[in-house]
Amino acid sequence: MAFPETRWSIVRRAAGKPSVETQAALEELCGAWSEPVFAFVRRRVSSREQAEDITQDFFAHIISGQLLSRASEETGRFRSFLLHALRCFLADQHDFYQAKKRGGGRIIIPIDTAELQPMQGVTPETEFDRRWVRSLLRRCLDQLAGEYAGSRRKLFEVLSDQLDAPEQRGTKQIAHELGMTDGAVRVALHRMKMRLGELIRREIADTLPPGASIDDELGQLKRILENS
Amino acid sequence: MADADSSKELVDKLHPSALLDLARGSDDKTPARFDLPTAEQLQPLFPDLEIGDVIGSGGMGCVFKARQIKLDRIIALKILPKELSDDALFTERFAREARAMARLHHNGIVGIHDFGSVQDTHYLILEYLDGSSLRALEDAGPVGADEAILMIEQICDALAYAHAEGVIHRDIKPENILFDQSGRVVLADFGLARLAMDSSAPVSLTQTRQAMGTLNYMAPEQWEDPKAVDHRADIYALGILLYEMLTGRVPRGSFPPASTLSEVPSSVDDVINRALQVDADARYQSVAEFCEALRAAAIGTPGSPLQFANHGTVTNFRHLGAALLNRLPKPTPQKSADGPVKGPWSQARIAWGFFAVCTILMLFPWTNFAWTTDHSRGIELATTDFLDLGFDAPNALMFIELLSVCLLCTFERRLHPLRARLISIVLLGFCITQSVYFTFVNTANPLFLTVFPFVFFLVVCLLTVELIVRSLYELQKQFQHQFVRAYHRYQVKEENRRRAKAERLQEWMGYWTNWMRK
Repeated sequence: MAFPETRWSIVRRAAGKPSVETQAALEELCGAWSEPVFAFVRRRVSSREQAEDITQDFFAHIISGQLLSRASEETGRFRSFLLHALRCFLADQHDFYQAKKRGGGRIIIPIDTAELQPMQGVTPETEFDRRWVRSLLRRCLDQLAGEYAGSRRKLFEVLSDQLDAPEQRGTKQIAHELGMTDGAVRVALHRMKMRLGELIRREIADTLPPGASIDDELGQLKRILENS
Repeated sequence: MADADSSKELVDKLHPSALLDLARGSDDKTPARFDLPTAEQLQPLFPDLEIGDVIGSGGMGCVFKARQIKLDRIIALKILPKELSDDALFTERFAREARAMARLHHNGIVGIHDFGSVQDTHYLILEYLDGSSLRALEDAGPVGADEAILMIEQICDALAYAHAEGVIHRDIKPENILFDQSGRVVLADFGLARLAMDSSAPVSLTQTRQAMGTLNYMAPEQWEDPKAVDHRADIYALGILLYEMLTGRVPRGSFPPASTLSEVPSSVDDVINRALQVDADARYQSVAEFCEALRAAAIGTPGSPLQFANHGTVTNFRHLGAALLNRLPKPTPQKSADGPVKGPWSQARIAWGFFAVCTILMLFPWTNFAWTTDHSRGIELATTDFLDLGFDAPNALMFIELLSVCLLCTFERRLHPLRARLISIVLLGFCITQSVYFTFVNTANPLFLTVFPFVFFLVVCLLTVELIVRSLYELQKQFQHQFVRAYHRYQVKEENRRRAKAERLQEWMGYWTNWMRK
């Protein structure tokens, strides 16, 4: 069975001969993962403005295709590539405290910088990975919320609190509020969980090379969360 | 941006590790037993459909969500596995499922829109349900006792209807019990349903003791003599289902009573035990009887935790509908309410018998007596040999009519009921016009009518009248069904109104007593 091509594998296949299509795929990928990059940079520099500048520059570099040739050959994960490229990028900047804005053809990637504070005792790498997971989950929840549009919106709002709970609580009360049967609510919650699981798998798969095990990556992400 | 903000809050609130656990192994949950086709592969075969995601797969193929472009409606597309399409047995079962389902029109049974095959891909187009299966509900957590019993009641309603229509489900299991967002319980997958009276199928579907039903829910006779299975196998499966819903496990061997594992009175155990009798004669003999007993057992005990009076009015009235329908003339084993009569006195056999007797009699000269249509001459012996006359206009026509009626009786089951009805009405009309014409109108040109063509005529009339009466009976039954439904709706409305009134009164009384106390 042929593996479906992910956005990341499109980018990797086209490394060295960038096209409009790969550029778009890469932009989308980078846009999705700006939060962990910013968190990483923020641990290395003292001011937020500098961190923002560097993050922007970094993505501009990646998108222009200059860093693609450095994509990590052995793992092939987008997460590893991004972290590796970021380290190289920062090392390359002799003077990154005074990083100048590079002009021409820049793409501004919106970075959500609120409540991002430098923390003590956490390595930038750990922070990067932690933020990575958070970003991933947020995107999946976003998508899930998008699927529960219109009349089903209320259902999502009421049930989303319980997505992480192994047991179902107060479904009778919710059923009463929503005018559904208890069974229907429980199934709705079960399906919502299944769907979120599916979305997470899909999102993770999108950053892996074809053939890589999603479960392995899931295990790694879980270990990251437990260690941090 | 409200969405983004709320999901950001949400991601902080939820435990990320638990969310990642949701994703674990979700790809491996549906093991592909067949090389399932993908939506992309199927799309070119169905230009009228927009095929979406797979919504389920089982022994009989996989189901896709799809949109019928012309009608702009969502349907479920069921595809038969390609590897099995060559198997005559499997294809036959597929067609049988379609025909059995097409005959059933019930709120609690998944409707079928179409079926067929394109390039060796057999498919069914079914009603789409935006809901889930009982299996998913059971996976999501234990089903409460009151909820389980209410659901069983709805399943009973649908099954009682199917049984009255002569269709046995044969494969009742949680995967085949679906319900939509409003909680309506719907029976799906009459994949193994075999028409109760159709025992003379040219290709026997149960040639071997293959696992036709799902093992856990199969009645013993489904193992021992699959051909002798009747509607009581479904009652056995209902018993298993009830036990499973109450306790979360399938009863095997010597199992603990359900009342020790869930909050039902011990009388429910007796109902389950009787439904699970190995000897079908010792079980409940109809779904309505089972339902009635269950209901009595569940609410008849003082202090029962089941509060039927407080909710489920709709279901209770649905149940009433099933009970009412069951009081209608019940089909006996020999005579089904629908379709031709089986047994030694079947209509088709009578027709062919007459046909044969008359044809043989015609070959003998002593059958030549006849009367003329010339009234001035009265009855006298015909001078012409019957065989000469036999292919003259009136006799030949009657001969052809009798032949058509015989064919109609034989193949009626394969025809659409409406079409069979139309053909029989046309035949009857033709017969009457013809006899009136030759007896009263065309007297100027006297013809000799032998006795046997007249017997033919009588038989034709009787048989066609019988066909029409049966059709009318069917219509009446449908009407009665509709009437009972309308009556439930009325009752539910009335009940709600009464309850609201009682609540208001109670509120007012409470207020009044408080005031009095002060």
